[in-house]
Amino acid sequence: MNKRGRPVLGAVSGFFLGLFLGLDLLFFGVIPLDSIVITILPLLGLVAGLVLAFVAPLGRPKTSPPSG
Amino acid sequence: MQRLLRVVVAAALAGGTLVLGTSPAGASLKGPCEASGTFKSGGFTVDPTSTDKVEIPAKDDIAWTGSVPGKKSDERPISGSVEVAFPPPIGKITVGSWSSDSSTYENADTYSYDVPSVVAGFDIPVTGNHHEPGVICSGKVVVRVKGGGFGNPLALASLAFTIISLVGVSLAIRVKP
Repeated sequence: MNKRGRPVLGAVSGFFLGLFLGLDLLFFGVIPLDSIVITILPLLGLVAGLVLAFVAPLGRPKTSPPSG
Repeated sequence: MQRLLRVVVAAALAGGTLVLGTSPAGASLKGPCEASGTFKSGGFTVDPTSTDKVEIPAKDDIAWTGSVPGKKSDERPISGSVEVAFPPPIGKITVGSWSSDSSTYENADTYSYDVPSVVAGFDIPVTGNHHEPGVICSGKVVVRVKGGGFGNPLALASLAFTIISLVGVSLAIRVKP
């Protein structure tokens, strides 16, 4: 369990990342004010941040060179 | 916020959401009402029977007119509202409403507005309706204040917080020591 990320930080950061991504899309005129994307992105971010933190680290683990 | 509400109501009036004449196919305004709004500095007139989206200056004076059919002297109960649509679960919020007895069947005036840059650059869906005996008018228009983008301080703040949140996510997926 020690080799895991930080799920709480991941969830909180993911939520706000989704929230502000939605606001970016709004303020730059990509989506309208009543778009459901603004509602969905924070929830997706929360789940994604949580999952990413649990599966961290991503990628292949470092392998030590063979001895001898 | 009060100024935003005012301009939204003004734009809704100018866009004809409260008004509406005989609507051709495709127009978003329905009912026997009529209206128009001329943006003096913008130099254009909004035709509610053919306008679904209007981009307005951040500051202007609107010369607007509105009318409903009927005998000019009859007093009757009237009611209506103007709403702005927000994302779920907020939904529509009423920014203006009226309900009274009135003998007025047409009106005209000039409305001056000056909105802050924080509402510029994105689409604001506005809907409106007007009811009185024998008359039901409804409509919708998308209002966008000119400008926005990097000129909107809220957009810059949102970008900054996006980066900060991204840093938070990257810290979260690092392995605990």
